Amino acid sequence: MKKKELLFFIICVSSSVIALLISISIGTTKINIINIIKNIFNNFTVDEIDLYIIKSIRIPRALCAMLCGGILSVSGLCFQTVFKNPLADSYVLGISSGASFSVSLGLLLGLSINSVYSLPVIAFTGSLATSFLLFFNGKKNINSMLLFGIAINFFLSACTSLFIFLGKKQVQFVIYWTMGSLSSSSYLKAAIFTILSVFILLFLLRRNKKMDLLLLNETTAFSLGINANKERLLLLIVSSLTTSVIVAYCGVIGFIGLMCPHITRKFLGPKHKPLIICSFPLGALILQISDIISRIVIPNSELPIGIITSIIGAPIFFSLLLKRKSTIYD
Amino acid sequence: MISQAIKINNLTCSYSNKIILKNISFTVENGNFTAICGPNGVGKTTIIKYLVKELNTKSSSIFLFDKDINQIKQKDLPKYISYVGQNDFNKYSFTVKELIEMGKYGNNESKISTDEAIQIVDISHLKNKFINSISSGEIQLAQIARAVCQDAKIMILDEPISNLDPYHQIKIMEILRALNKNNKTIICVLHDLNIVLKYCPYCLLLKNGNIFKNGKTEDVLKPNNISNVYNINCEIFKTNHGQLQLAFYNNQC
Repeated sequence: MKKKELLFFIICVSSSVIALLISISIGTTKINIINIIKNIFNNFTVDEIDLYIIKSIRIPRALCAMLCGGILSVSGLCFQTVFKNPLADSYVLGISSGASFSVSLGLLLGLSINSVYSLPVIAFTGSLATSFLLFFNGKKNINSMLLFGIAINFFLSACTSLFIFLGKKQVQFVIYWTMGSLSSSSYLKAAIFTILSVFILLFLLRRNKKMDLLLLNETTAFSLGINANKERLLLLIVSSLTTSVIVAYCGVIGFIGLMCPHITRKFLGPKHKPLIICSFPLGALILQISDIISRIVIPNSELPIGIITSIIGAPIFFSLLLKRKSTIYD
Repeated sequence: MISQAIKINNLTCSYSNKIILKNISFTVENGNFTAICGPNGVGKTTIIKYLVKELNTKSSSIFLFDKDINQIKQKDLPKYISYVGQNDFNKYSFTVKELIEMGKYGNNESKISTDEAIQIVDISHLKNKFINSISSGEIQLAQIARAVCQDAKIMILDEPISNLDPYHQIKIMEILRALNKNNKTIICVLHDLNIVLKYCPYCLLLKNGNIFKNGKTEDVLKPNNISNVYNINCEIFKTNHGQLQLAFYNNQC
């Protein structure tokens, strides 16, 4: 790793750890950070109720925020590579909407999707179907793919709204779900996200050079020894899988997958190895900050996290686009 | 030593009921510098796509150094073929050096280092520049350096000098000539027939998905052949420097 990449990584990871501690300390019941740190080394500095809140609610939530952010960020990077477009993201491309669509349809049809496993399977089916639709359209003309994705996004969102309207109570929870929430975080979900994080990081790091080649002309990629179509499909399946699991458990959280790889690329360039390593902790950091804000902005209440990520993400994104000429990487 | 670098036997290709290539057969000898010419849409790029396995044929109709291309794994292809396309760059800004290093990704048996490739193409001044900050001619030089670094037996170029100024056109063709002198087999899709006459000893002329003529360039690029393929009038003459030159006249397109 180059010095610059190492510095970026260290800043993101350390900020993420600080954000984790702040996230654990902040909420309706405020718990002193120093006490939390002391508690890590000595079990008796925090009282029992606080300890219960920390262990049962805040630690799993902070862990889920951290891991979800990282996964969404690297999945976004994957989409951007597959479609050779820095604006590609599961949210923009309608892949998240595909998951919402299938879940709301499932609910409307009376399927039982309350289990930890059936919800991601149904969400995955929807997002994968959307991904294939996009891929086979984008293969012919990759430039029209983004517009096609936006159209799919509108269509599926409209269908989801229709199902919510028709399904009334049994589909109502989809409304909250489409805005994203980490309130139902648990250790089980944190464990699932950990497995998913390890899987996607190892998977992407193994093929970081192939991902670099995918940014070149299609025929050049083939001549350099990769079957570009197969690689794209594989990356699309994996990123859809990881995105759909996140969408299934935490709802639709926009902008992380778009913003984090973009920021990382601005500082470190387009090579995938540092991008994968550094955009994960950046995503973790930004989603944790968003989660903290969502919990403190309205006293004794909580805003859906998707609203916060979009409110934070859009101005950062605009400012990056406006500064485009003054930065070294495009 | 195997003399045939590429052998194509009865290759046919069609897209949505339109036949692009009709049973074409030709060979390219090892160490030759061959131009592929013909009107737009005649199937030149399609042949290249078959050679890099972007398109696949079920029959055994393509051989690289006597080996059926279907028997060559995609990951082993970079040892045989390197490729440079037209305006082959992307909106993501790699540095020139990073781009050239990518040649190594495909062929880890390459004996040419990144610095050597940079020297061969003479672009040390561009080494640390970003691809999106240099001119189209310089990008094309960087792409050729990447292909040099890949050190494949055959180098294929698809319209490498289109849209370039005369300086870069000549520079690129001189580099290709020098590489060919070092026994690299070069296949180059070109539209500028005068460039073909000057630099490419062999030429493959395509018409309507068929091979119209194949052989030594001065035999292939005769005015009647050009007139037949491109539907334009021209004459050929020798310049004061002894160079064959085509002049086009009275053409109402």
